[in-house]
Amino acid sequence: MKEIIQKTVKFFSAIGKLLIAEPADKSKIISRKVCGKYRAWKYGPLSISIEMAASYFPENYQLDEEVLKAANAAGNIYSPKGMLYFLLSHARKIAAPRQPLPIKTSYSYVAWQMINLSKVNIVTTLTKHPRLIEIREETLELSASKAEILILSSGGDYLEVNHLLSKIDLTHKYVIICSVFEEAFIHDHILYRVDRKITPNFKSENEYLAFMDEIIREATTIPLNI
Amino acid sequence: MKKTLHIDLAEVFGEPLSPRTDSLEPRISMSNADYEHYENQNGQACLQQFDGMLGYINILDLHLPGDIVIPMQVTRSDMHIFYLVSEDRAIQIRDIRKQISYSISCNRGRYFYLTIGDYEIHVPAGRYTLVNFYFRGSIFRDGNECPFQFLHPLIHAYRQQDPHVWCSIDFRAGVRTISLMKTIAAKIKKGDLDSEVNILWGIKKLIQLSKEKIFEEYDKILESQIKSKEAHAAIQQATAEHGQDFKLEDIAWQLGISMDYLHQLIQLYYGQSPQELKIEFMLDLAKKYIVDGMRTDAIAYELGYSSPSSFARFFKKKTGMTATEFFKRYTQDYL
Repeated sequence: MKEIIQKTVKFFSAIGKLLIAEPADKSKIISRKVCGKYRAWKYGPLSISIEMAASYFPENYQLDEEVLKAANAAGNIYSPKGMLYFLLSHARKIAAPRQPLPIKTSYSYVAWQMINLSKVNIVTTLTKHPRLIEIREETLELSASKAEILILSSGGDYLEVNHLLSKIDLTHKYVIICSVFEEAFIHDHILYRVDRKITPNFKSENEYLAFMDEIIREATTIPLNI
Repeated sequence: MKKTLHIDLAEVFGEPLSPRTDSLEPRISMSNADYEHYENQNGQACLQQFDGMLGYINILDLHLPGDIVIPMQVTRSDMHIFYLVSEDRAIQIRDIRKQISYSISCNRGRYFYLTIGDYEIHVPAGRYTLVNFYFRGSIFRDGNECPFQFLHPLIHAYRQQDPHVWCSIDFRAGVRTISLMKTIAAKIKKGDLDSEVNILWGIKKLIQLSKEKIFEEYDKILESQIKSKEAHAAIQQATAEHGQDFKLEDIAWQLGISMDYLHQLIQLYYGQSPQELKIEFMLDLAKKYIVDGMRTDAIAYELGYSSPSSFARFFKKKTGMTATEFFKRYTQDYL
């Protein structure tokens, strides 16, 4: 009897070791988590593509089942990027009403991964604006959560800005996305509120600084409900 | 109710001072509550806590020379209301595990469904009063939550015991809210059976008041909003028809409002004075005409100027270039 118990214990500990010994591949872990979260196998032949695309969604965002079903029914979307775009454009957007910033002499901002297509250096020029103060905390999320104006890139083809925006409260912030994507694409594929979309193509420093004045003016006014 | 929200002030300010000192006067005083006062180089803090059967109240007053981070622990998932009374800056509540921040702005309130875990309160330098009520989400039952749409996701999360934190839309906390909180604070007393009824009454009143505030701020369409939109459209229309040759007083008269009110409305919703708005519309029109290839004298005529030179002066003053320079730059950039 004792031997049987010992053998059973050995057997289970060996199985346990096998599970622990599995390489901790991050993408595998994420896709397994997503697989568990959405149970994509339920949605048919495109389940792998859906799983991969869904893994690019923020962790605290829950995709609706109808969207996953529609993605599978759409057919012919076999690339993860194509599927991601489909899911993002059909996914429910997170409503976050904008509250105007109080009128004061200076406003804090965070600039993240902005690309530049103009002669003006759009990141360093911001420091020359008399009413803008850059916030730099330990992490990007913390800086963004304390800033009043966010000037962010779209985060590339996979729109990683969604991850950053998922971690902060946008109610008392003005969100600018600086990207070469079309405005409609940005509004369709970003899950959170975007107040302005700009193309990083400014002709002069003065034009850029004047644009920031306009942003401050807009950020401090009350949005019309009608 | 069991204490489930622990604000670790000792971590920042050291051990509480004893005997009680009142060097930092609480804005909302709960004379019958437990009171702790802290003071060191990081600033001063006083925490008042009242433990009721149906809800728990924390009132934290802070006076800080610099930014601080206060650790906070939640040991059971519950519904919370936070109010921040301050003239300084917003504070952040940060979920350490998920690295997600939620902000509470000055003189505003917000509902949270906080899950078990460690949090941080990031408070910038200044004087703050943070009021926190927490209560069991089970007070919402048999559909009594129906009128409070802003709480529905939180109640749903509470019922499902969702692992994620949820927060509601934020709302103004002004004089009425503060006086209601003072009334609640004054009515409660340890060992008094009426305190339980008063806490429930207070929570109910605060929820109803926040519903009213949310409606006023987010859903109600104000007369001023309609008027400002009308005024904006009227100025645009008049500029298109008469150029600079109209008076803003006429627009105010047409809308049946005073010139001061017109100014106030446009400033409030568009961030400019009516005169600046008029100039902006004129410049837009002028640029459009220049790009269309119209001659300067024709543009001056269209925009109601008596002579092309006065239009040229206006354009140069506002854009820093002449019409010809603007046309050349436009064609260089876009053609």
